[in-house]
Amino acid sequence: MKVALIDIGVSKKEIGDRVDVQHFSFVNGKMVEKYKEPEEEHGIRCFKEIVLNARNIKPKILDMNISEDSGIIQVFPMIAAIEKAIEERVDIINISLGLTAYSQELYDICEKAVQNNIVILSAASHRNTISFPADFNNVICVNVDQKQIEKIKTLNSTTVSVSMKDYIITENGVEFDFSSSSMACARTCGYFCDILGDVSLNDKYKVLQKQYNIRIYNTDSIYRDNVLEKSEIKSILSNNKVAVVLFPEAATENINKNMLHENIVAYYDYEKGSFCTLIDGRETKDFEVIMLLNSLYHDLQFPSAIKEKYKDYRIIYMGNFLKENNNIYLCDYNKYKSSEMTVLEKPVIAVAGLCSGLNKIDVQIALLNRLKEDGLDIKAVSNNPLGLIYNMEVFNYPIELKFPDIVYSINKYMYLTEVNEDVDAWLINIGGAIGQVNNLNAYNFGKLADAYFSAANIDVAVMCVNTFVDVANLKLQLANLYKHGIENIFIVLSHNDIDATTMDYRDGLQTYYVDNEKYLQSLRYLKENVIEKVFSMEDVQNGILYRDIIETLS
Amino acid sequence: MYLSKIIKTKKGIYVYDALNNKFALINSEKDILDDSKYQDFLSRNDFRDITIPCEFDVRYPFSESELKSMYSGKVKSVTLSLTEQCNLRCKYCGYMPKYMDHNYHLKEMPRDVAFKAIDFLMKSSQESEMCNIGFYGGEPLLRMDLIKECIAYIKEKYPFRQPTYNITTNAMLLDNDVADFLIENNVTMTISLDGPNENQNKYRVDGNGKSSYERVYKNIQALYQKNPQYFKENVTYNVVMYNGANQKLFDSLDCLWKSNITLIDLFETEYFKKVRDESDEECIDEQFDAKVYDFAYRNMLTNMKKYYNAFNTSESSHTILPGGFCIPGVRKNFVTADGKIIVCEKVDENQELFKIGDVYTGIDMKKIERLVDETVRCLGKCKYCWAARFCNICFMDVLKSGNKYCEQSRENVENELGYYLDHICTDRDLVNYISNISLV
Repeated sequence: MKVALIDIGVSKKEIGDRVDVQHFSFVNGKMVEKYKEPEEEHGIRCFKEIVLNARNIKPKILDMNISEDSGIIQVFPMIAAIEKAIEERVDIINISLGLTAYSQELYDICEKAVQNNIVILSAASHRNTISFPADFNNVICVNVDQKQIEKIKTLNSTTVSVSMKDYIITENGVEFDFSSSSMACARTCGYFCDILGDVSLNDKYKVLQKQYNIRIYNTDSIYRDNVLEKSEIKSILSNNKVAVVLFPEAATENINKNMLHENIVAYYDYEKGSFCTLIDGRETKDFEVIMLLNSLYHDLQFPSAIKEKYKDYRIIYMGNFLKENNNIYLCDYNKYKSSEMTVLEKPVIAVAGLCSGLNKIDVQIALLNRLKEDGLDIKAVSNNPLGLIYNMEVFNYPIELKFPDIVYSINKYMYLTEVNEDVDAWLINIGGAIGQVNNLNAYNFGKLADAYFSAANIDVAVMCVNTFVDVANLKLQLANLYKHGIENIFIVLSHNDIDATTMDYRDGLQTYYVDNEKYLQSLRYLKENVIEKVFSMEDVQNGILYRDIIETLS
Repeated sequence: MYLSKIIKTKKGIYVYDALNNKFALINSEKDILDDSKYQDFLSRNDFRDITIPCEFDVRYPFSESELKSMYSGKVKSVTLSLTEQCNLRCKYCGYMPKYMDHNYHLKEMPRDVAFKAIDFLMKSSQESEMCNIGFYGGEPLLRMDLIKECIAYIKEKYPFRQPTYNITTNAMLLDNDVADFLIENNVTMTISLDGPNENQNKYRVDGNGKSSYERVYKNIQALYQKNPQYFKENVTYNVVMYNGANQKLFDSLDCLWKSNITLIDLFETEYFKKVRDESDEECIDEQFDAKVYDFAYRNMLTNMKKYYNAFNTSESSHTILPGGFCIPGVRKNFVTADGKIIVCEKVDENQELFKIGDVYTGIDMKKIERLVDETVRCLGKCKYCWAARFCNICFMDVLKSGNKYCEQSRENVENELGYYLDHICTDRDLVNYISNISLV
């Protein structure tokens, strides 16, 4: 049995003859076999605690002295010490120390130790704050509980507590408790030496699981942690009355008041220059939060003056704002890490677009309205911040799309939602466009759609296109959808009236003004040239698209 | 009732329609057996009338051209029987008659045969997602020299190919140098170990009857010390359950640091019948909850994959090939010491039926045809069997299947299907777990 004691050193003077100790210290960025006289007693106290409590076995102790001249415990020596402990094939690593800053490298080296059948014990923070590595899900965190009767008590899957009554000293009738999680950690290490001592070919975590129900995080586990955490923005919306300011201004006119989140109580009226209630349009100040929602593709200047003007309110910026935004409050794909796909059960309607600015959110809202009218529990997902006012789950559009992680994340999110909420169907508005529109958007457009298509079986895809769509390219893109196994595709011809003054190259796209006549011509042309059903925006608003989707799904 | 079965479980009663692979929950058997209730049941459940006679169409699913195309580029593995010799004389071993027969000359695989087998695999696996070479025996570590030569040959002749390697060994010769070589070449290991000291030493002994546990354990421990992570990812134990499944054995196996455990049911040879300890039999029927043992539960869930697949396909055909037959000549290919290709290492290699080619001329289509025809002929009776879709019968059993085999198989399917319906198909975590299991 070998124990690595990662600490600030064990003095040779205090070891005695009966214990085999090998000394290492951190020199020039490496852990090397070298003795370094410790300046403090913490290490030797831990050492004695381990040896004293390993009653049936004499562990060999590897003194890993990670102290530096600064006297501050740093993460790099700790990582180097764990690496060395793995190399030395130790059985247990005792770290009666902690760092407050998270380090991925530290987590990864702990994971490597676990993969090598090494148990890592670390002391919980004294101040009830976070402490690493103790608070990693692959490390056993040790605390003190003077009230417990048990020798070792399991508090949760990776935390245990031990009783240290012998550290309570009574003087003149006053009790002094000298216990600490550091010593508790070392004591547990001693106990574990006994438990794990004679099982060299055994899985140590399995032994601890059987004895104490300790279950460190395991990606291979059959049962998952199925907790679905609420996004910050959902909490804000649930707990506050909110007034919204919509960008572009025109979006304000199209608010569907029947579908709003119950806590959206007011909107900013650009003409009146004040906030008005959504019920009767009267001016109001009865709200706590002002939420600026920009659904435009380009970044808006951050309106700094409003901070002063509305200083009594909490102001939240969602969408594309220069320099500052609160998009971090939105749902984040990265929070749903997984390495396996899950089976999804609910039907999925996806709204995707070939190019940008295609009324996708309008299509989604129209469909959502009809689905809700029919009494269905719909989980609507969008990357458009405007979705927030309709109680959709809005995901921050990722800066970088890393495959296959993004596929797993989407799949995991959908699975957790299906498990935790009542959902009859999904209605997903996928941000970005399908395929490359031009070489300016080669990286960010369309890949998210690919990710969704891989993450879930899409039952119906509503493909939004604009009036100047190239039919040959459209067919190619539709073929790509069929290749993904999407059998039902409907096409919606968007009618985004583009201001004639912005007709030239905007965002890399050459645009031109589309009046009703051109729109109808385009609609006719498209219907004649593709086999899929084509719908106008009017068809969408009148429920014709909805009717066809429902017929397809049923 | 035709091609259907009422399945009673702890949670309910199901009626299973094997022809259409559908099931429905019923309140009691009367729903099916009582005429008026039955009509009501049919109309409510869109269920086939199971009182009308029907049968499966039992047919082999692959045409000759499909098989030929597979043999030309999608072969997955060969398992080389490097030697028939072994340094143990395990009492239940199928080779014991050979070991006891002093007139029998135990065969050694010549280097040329091994290289030819490698050439056969390399040439016929170019389109395969998997290319595996297994070293098998007897005890393959007795031919460590040949193993090294084989791997060197591949590195030299096929520098742009990277097959995976596996060795099935008793670990008696797994010393320091051998372990280093196997780790260096990423050879996955299947170690035959029947459990703790008393289990291992009961029948796994050498020619003098001396126990093997101490040496095997020491070698395994040294291998573990070299690289615990490698060990975890690459070492599987083969455990012969000569005593049946029992709690004590499972307790010890469950705690082992390992990649997996394969439990092997004892096939009782004539020799073993004579030497077996009679007290073994008493333990065989021990009842316990295998689910609490992680390895056993995972194996059980792996077995559920076929049910998951069957109930999660869009169409259910009436044409089936019962059982779990692999495609002969593609997945296994056991190469005997004298170069014959046998359909897999588990079948009786002396049976002419299972010989499907040799390392010099490759897979023989006529022999494949013979094996397939005989198999389909043997499976003729399955067209009336409600359990045929899920039966485990494979080439290993095809010649010995009889009523007893079929009864046992139906009982197994009934239990497994009941478990699937009760516990798996409604538990989304388990469904996810099973859906991610790869059977390759």
